[in-house]
Amino acid sequence: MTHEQYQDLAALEAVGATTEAESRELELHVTTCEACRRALDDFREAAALQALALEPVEPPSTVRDGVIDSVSPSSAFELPSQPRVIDVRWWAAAAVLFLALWGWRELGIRAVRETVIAQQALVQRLLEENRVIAAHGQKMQEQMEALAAPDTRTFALSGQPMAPAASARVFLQPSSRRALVFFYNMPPNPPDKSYELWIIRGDKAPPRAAGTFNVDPQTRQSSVVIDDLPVGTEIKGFAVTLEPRGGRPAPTNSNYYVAGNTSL
Amino acid sequence: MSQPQPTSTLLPAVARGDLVAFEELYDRYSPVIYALLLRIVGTTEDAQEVLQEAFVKAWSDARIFDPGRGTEVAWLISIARNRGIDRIRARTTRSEREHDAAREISIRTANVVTTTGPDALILEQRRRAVRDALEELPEPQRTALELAYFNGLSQTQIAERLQEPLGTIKTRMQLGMKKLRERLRPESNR
Repeated sequence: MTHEQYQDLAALEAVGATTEAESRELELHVTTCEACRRALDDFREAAALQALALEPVEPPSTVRDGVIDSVSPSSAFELPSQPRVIDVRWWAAAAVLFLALWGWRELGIRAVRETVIAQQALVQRLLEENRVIAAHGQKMQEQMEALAAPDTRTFALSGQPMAPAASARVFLQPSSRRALVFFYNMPPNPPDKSYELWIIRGDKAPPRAAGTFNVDPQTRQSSVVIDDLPVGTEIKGFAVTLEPRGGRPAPTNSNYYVAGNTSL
Repeated sequence: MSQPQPTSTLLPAVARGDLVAFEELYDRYSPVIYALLLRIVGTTEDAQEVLQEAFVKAWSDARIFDPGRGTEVAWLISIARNRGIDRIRARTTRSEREHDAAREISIRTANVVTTTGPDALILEQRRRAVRDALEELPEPQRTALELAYFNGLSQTQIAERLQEPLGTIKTRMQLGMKKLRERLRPESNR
């Protein structure tokens, strides 16, 4: 995804209109991209300021009292200096107070019930999310190890005439001779074809096959994990072609979809 | 258009436990926040409850406010908005939501605030700037943004409600937000 696409996502995130997956991807990106982080902050500021267009309304003073009481230390309890005179009026006041407290109790029960229902819905949602996360746990662990390693190099592959809007980002860890490649905005491949990633070598040897992948028609994204990379100095770049399903030992054409050189 | 800043920001003092500063924070911004919550949750009862929750959260979270990333009013609005949206999503039945929304119109005519003091006047200037910026947006863009921000609807839900393609809704919101960002960004950040 390009920076412009991330900032388009930030515009939607600011008004709460992104999916959870989109939000996670954006949050991950802005941890390492100051420009996109600033854009997200600006969008969030602009979104929030929409509220200033509403006519302000003074809330009841009871709310202010409740807020202050909630955050301030409780005051000391003081005993009455004189014994109270108990008469019929006190009983009437007590009855009114009891009815008010009963009504308050009902409101409290309703509030608690609504909270319980909301929390139950939240628990169900979290359980489902946990199942999804667990299913992808191993893959994420491998990806994070590669991303977090101090010797990890990252570089971009750009779209070629076959797919000008496509792009890819390579995370290459020379010490483990492993790489992760994420593809964005790729045209979906036909059922009888597969995309194949090639390692372009610097020693003029033929390109080496690095794996095949399919592109999800919905997300237009995919990824490839490469193990047993050649030694770093032998890698000149990467390229992607469309091959018969299952791939081939060598490229059958030079119609690249994404390509780029490394800086190793 | 430059955006005037209040003469003082209160959250740093609130973060130090200054109750007087917190009371001033409440007095300065509660009308704005309450109006927002009435718009979102639709009933005075829920709006008052969420208003209290929001300011209590602001008291406990004041130390994480970063003035380099936004204004304190926007920070407060975000807290309140998120709590308000959570409240309406917790309502289990559509009839509850529609019933409460129907009462919205009669609520907002009472207790309109009159502005006094320099900070209140500056806030009023910012309010006018925001209204001007929103009025400059094409109606379809403004509607999509309002449904997302004030009603908590997803892109898909907005597309269904407006009977428009999903891509169209997404583009409208992105264009609208970009225009708002440009119009409302402080002069020094352009």
